[in-house]
Amino acid sequence: MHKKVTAFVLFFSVFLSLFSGCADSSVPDPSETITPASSVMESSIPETEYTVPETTVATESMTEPVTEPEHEDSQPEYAFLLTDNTVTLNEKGQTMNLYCGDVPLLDISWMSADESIALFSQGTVVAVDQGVTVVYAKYRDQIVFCEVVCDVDPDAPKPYISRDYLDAPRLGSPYVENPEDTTFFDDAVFIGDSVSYVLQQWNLKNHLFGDALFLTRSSLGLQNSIDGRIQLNYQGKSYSPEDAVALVAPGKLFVMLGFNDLAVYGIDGTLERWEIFIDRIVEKSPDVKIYIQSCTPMHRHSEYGKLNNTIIDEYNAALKNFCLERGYHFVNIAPYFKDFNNSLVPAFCSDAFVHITYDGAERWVNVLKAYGEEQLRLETEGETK
Amino acid sequence: MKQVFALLLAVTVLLSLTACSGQEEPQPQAPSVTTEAPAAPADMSAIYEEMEKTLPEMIPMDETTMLNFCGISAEDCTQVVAAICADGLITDEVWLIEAKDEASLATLKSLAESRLKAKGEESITYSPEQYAVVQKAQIICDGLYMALIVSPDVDTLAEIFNGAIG
Repeated sequence: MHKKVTAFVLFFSVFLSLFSGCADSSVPDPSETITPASSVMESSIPETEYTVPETTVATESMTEPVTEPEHEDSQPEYAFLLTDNTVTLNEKGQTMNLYCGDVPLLDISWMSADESIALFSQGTVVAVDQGVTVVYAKYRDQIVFCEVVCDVDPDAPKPYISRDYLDAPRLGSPYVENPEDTTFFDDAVFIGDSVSYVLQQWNLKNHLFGDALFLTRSSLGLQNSIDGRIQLNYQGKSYSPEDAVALVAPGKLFVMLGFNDLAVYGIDGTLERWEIFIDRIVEKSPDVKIYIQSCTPMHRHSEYGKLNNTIIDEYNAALKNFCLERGYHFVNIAPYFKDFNNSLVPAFCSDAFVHITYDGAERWVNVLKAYGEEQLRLETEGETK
Repeated sequence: MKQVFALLLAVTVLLSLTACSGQEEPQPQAPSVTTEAPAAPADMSAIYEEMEKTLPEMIPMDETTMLNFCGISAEDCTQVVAAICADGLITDEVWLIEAKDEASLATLKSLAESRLKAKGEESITYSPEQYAVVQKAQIICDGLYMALIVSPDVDTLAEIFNGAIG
């Protein structure tokens, strides 16, 4: 009996040792930070000449990966690795798992330099067509990459790629250093339509935004705010947005609107209404800081006519320019809700339309909190300069 | 002497018999004093707990939220429990209140009516089903107790409330 136990322990030890080693992967400069409100993303990829498509990732800058960790004596407590630095796939549709680590998959952003050659999501690469590209995984400020050689028959039929793969979130949740800290939002008011409801409800449950006040109404839009058809309810009374903001006197105003205007007035018409909407608020509350959030995408099955994700992307780009021109903050939350179809991640969608689940709300909170931390950091640096 | 004594004894016996015989004259009744204990005030929290079995997932509102969302001031209430559906697209909402006085009750009733009006305006544009729920909502007032009930099971919940406040 004793010999059998010893033999089993020895066998198990050998078994573990066979599967514990993974190929080391490079880590980037840890000084890189997430800046969802920064300008158009650019990336340069060492040793290859591929450019990451803008639609692939959020507005982040990606530095060159560094092969050595910057601080030998402060290794992260998690493993974030890919199995190889280069892999070869021989058939269209062939998949290979590249991820070996203990960071949850949903917290990682997955990117491919050229999605017409290979897709990369949830740790798995899929060969799409003949060619060579680079795929990346990003977590916090670390990026790991792998070269993918698709040595496939170019004349073979287009591969089937599963819905599980395509419907996965493209980007991971941004890292929030102090999730309990509500400092940035204590003096904030959020105005929004029914999409913002979930953020309101999530805050009611979890109080993640401190003393922030939510003024949301279903079907709220820019035009029906302007003409008074829909007003905001506050302490049992109805107010126009400008009067509500003047009454509450917040330091910051976060707004997400436009979805209920786009199909009717188009992008230009919606932006005209933004101008009127914001001007009225600023006239009565000149000191409030304005933060305009991009519109989240819609479910791929609900796109119709002039209301589709391509239009939403164009609208968000125009809205960003609107903000830059007028000195408002643009908080680009939309990319964190997209799947590989450029649509709302189904797991984040409660009704196969536009409304968000609690999983999506959690993602939204993280994006805003990461944004808030970045803004506070910038403010602090500004004070010391 | 003996005869006198016997006579006296007989009279005494007669008198004693008279005192015990016949109907007593009716005496004026003192007002009756009830010995029953006063009815305990209804417990809004207990009522809500009972209602929760029928409601979807709800989020109870704290004082600040009640004021900001609904206009309910704690100063108008002896007891209050207010909750809103966790799913923001479902209109279910419950207010259970014991008002401090008649004036407070009137204020709270007005707030409830405004709240229903706002919910109707919102739901009519995006969900006919939810609009129908709002249309059937009830505002119940009994003494200083008030309930606002928005739910597809409004009748069941109203019964719970009415039963609890007696």
